[in-house]
Amino acid sequence: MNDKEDRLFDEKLRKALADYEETVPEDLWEGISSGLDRMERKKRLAGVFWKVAGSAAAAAAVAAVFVFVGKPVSETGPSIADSQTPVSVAEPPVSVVKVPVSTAESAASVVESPVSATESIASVVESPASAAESAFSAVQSSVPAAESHFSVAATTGSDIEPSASDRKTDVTSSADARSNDASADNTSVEDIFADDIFADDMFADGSEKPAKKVRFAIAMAGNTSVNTDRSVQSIRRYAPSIGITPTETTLSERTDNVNYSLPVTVGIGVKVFFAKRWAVGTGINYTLLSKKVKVDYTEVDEESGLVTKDISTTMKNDQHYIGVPLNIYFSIVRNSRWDFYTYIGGSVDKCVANKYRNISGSDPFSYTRKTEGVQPAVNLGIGVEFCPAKNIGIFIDPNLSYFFDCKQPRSIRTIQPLTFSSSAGVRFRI
Amino acid sequence: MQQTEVIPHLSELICDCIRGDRKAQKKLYDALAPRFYPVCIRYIGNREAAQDALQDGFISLFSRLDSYKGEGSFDGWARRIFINTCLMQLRKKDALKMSDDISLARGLATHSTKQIDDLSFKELMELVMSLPPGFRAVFNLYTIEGLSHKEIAKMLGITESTSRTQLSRARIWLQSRIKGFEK
Repeated sequence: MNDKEDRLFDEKLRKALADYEETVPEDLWEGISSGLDRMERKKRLAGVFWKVAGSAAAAAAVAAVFVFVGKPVSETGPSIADSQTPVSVAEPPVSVVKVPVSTAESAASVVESPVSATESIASVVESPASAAESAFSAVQSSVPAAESHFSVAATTGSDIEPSASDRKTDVTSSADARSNDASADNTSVEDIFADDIFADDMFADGSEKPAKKVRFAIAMAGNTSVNTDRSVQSIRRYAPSIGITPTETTLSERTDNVNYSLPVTVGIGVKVFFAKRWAVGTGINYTLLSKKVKVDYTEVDEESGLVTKDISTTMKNDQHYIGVPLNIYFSIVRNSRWDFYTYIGGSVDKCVANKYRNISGSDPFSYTRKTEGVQPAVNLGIGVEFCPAKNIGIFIDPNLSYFFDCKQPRSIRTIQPLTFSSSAGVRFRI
Repeated sequence: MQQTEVIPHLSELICDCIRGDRKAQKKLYDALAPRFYPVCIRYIGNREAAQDALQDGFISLFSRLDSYKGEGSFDGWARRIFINTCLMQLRKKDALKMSDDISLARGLATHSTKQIDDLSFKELMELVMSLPPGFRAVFNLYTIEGLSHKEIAKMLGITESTSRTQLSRARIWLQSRIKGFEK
């Protein structure tokens, strides 16, 4: 058959069959009608389901917000303080210090005391490395090591003349230690607290001091770092191993009574479906981590070297993070308007600003602390996305995240790495 | 012939159908069913199964009616729904396998164009229904619907050359049957 004849054959068949009509059996409409009824019922049920599911998701999100806002995470007591020691040591300006300014007598003692303190630290550092390291780093897991460190300090400190009682630079040993050198090597942390050089300022009301072993260690390091040139040199000599760099203005967070606010994350991202139910998503997130924390703040004038401010106060700390998430999504139920999904992935966050603002008293000063590194995290969650338009979705993603510390500033993420959080934002679908 | 010419006040009728007015839906069904029932028969190959396809096609049509934007003919839009419903049913039954059995058609490639005029609509329908499913689908899509081999290949998940071969074999098959009617 040639093409012309094929075309003619096809044309004749098409003309004959295209407009052919045939009577339809009577009962066919009944089947269609009942099928349409079933579909309408299904649609109504689906509508109810989406309303209930949407309301439940919204209620869950609101409940999560209230749970976390209503009960801000707090750090109180020695247990948290213990766990936070490494973080505090790592943060540069470590101090609960006062610089001597008044009498010649006190000045003399100031000169004396750091020497002793430095010597004591030097002796610790030069002693078996494990003890020194444990004293300055993972203190929470090495209390005995810390104790031995403090013992040495107390012993050597016994040579120091006590200065005015209102000076924190009194890195003195206690009268007991002075009078009992033989027993000084066995001085426990609690014993040292009994003669805490900061007792006058920090517990002026005479209240019972909590056993903050860790903070004490930090205070010693800070104390030696700012008093004399010799102490600074000594500290610098050992600074690389303990991460302490002497600075002029210092802020030291206390580890008790810290109130952490609910982390808030908002973001914008893209979600690309690479299969019917599977998608990969990324974007950019902004996270605000806030806390209220008691701090010891010492401000030193750069030109004169004089202390211009030296207070213990409560400050609000805002940490601003910019992060990039990368998640794999699986849609559990999905239609043109709604998408209920689960996802797994991770993120990398960078702290772009870490600011402290004084919120007690009438002096509204602020302080900015530099941060380094990034905070990686892994997460697992469920989410719901409402699509008001074809390619745009408004999402809320409650999730369980684990944040790796990576020397980040102390926040809810570092003290409680496994966190339930919730992200919300706008996502563009591609 | 476009359906808009035969269904009065089509746009109002469509609006009523979208609102779920069962009377309007019945009216549209009455207008379309006699036209698309033969379409289903041609694709499916038997009347009983074609009724199921027609039923499913109408349910699908009514549920998607709000997506008809008035662009193009309503007849063409509805026809695509019924054809897709038929092809889906054939796929479910695994009946869309392309036949490579040409033995029955071999040697019968004689022209029978003139004889078509002597056959009734019903006889022609019977002829098309007797085609093996693979031949039938390609024949309907190419000859009656006017699709290209490229479009057919995409629609049925076959190659263009397979589509051409199937059509050629369908023609040979039909011509052999037409000869049979003549005898």
